[in-house]
Amino acid sequence: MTQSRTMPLTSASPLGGVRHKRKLSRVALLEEVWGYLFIAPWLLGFAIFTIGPMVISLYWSFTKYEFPLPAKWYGIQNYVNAFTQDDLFPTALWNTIYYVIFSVPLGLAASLLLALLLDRKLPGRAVLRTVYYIPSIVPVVVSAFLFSYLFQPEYGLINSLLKGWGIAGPGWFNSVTWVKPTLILLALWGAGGPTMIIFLAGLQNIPTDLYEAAEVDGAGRLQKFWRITLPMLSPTIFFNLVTGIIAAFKIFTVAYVATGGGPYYASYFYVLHLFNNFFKYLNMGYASALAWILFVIIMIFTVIQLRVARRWVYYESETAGF
Amino acid sequence: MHARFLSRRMFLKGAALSATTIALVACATPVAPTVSEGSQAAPAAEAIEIIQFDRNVPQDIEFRKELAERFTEDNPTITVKIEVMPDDYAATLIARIASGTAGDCFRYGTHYGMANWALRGILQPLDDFIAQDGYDLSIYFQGSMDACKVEGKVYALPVNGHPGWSAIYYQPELFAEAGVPEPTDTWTYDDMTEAARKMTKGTDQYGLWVAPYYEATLTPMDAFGGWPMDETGTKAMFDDEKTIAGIRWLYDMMQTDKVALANPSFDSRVQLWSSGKVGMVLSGIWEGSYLGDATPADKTLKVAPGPIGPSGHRGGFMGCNVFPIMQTSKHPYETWLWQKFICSKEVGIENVQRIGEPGLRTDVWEDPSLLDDPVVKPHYELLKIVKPMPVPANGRLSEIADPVTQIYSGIFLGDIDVEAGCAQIQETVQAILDQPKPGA
Repeated sequence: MTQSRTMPLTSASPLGGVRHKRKLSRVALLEEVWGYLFIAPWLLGFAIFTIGPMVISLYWSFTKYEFPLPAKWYGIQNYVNAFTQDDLFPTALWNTIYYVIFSVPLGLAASLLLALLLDRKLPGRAVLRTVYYIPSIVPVVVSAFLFSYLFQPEYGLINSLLKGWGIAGPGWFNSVTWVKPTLILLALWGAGGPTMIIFLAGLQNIPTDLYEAAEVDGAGRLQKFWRITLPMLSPTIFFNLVTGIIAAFKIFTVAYVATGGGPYYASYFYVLHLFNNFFKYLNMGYASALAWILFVIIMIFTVIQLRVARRWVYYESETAGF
Repeated sequence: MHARFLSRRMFLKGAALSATTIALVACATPVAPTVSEGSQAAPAAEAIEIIQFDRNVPQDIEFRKELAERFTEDNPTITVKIEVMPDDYAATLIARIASGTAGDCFRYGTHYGMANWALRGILQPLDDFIAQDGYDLSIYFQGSMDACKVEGKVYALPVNGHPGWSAIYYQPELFAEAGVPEPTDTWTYDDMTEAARKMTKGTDQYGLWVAPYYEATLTPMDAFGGWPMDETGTKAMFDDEKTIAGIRWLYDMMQTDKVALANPSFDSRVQLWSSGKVGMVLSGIWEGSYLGDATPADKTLKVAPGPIGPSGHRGGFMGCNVFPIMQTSKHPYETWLWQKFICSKEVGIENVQRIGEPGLRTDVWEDPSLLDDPVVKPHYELLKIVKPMPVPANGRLSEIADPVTQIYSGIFLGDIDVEAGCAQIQETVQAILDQPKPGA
């Protein structure tokens, strides 16, 4: 690392808090410039493709923008309409929250279970990890089509097998009662994906001497899991929980492809409602307002989780002496 | 560790300011589309290219490209480039319009919601070109021209199309097996229902397949004397007993008599047909291709006109495939010439063999090659009398079709009874019809 030839930085000088404006050496300046140049492509992309559209959509959310007619200022009316005029808003929101409440814990449990199994010293472990990971890289559209055929009530494979055992299968995607559970089941298809990998990494970071000490004290398998594995894994669980909830709130593709939001609005999720307003009905101002409402909802959920996390997430570095 | 030239806070402020500036510049009111000047002159003397967006159907694309080559042979200064749009056609088209790269014309349907786009100023009216060239519109079926008009202006020529989900596609072998006489020109809905009952064997074989979507239900609705909205497109008619009767017939097929799959997916008809598990499919002219290709080796495909309803006529609606011209087209007159070419009698007849949907000119349908075609002929009489797809006065067709289809699924799955479902549809549709036109 190059050393600056100028005075050390003092934000609180012993002489009374006077800030001195530092002059950087030429070398240090060059380092700054090269640093920003290297991250410039990402910065540009972030500004143009992420921040830019966010700012535009925020502006549109306060307009009546019926594409491609000029946007007219509308104040907060789009937000008011969402809560007072739009009959589908509560339906879409409830369907999404339902999906989040059930799919996230089940998905985490499934991923954790797979990670625990694949953390064991099994022959062919590397191959098994790959095999379990593959479903998560199959495009969602392909999975949705595949499952819509598998779960077809009258001639799909699943109900045909059930029929062979004398069981009348449910309507799956074609049932108001079963469509959301079926979508939740479909979500478990990707349980061996990135979430499982993160859990595996977390498991492998747990010091083995903790388990050895526990064994010496006579702890059984379940006790080791509850007293060592889960607490040590809690930061990883927390991370997967937060990212899982954010992803679940954005469920769209599988509903768009497999169910169209039906039957009878049973799988009409929030982002599908947003999509329809934007691309089908061309009410882009209203759709933008829906997007920002979702943003706020997800933020609220995330903040709640961060607050609650203090009670159950254990960080090793927080213990005394660290 | 050296001090920073630019603190993190200063950097973040600068980045946010830059991004906001870029975004606000992009938010500038879009320039309203204008008609190109000189559009009513003769075709350009210099070589020009027209871009047409088309949907991703291989037979359509192949045929259209051949037509484009033939058009250029007759019009050497005009080249037509066919650009294929991926499956999410409307979303991609909107993005292209927003970015100003929308081309000159695109494949669409009067029953897809063309009126909505016309009312938003996306499409170019053709009345001036029609007057300039003295183009005779009487050559088209009246219903098809009515479908291409929005507020009295013509926005497209009806290139090809169909009279809705209005014919019976059937496998005569299944009829013979069940000892049921094949459909005739005088069949009624009662005859079809009776035949379906006799051919149904639990869930192993269905006598009938009917679609649960908004536009498909127009056929029985019309046959029973109902219609979803009045002629002005401002009043919903789902509280009309004849409209309800048409919906009830569908419900009975799926839930009471159980002769048809309840709330089936679009693909299911091909699945059932290809495995010889459905006797009849009440569908449209496109099935000559789809079901034709899926007919099992030991079965045949035959077509009969749709049944006559209690109203005394068969049901249906005029669905036109069109190629409207963008308001932003730089070569609208040349694009109009291309439209006239693909609407010619020769191309209209060729449409049948190539893409399964004939042109909508009366002289196309009166050609002996079509009148003798057993797959096409059953649709002919209906084309003369069907009404256009009902379009709301405010153009908001997709805002109506989506909720109606959703509530239909509740009805056809038995989760809500027919009357309650129709009442819900009536309320929903009327609320949409009461909304102003876009931009108002």
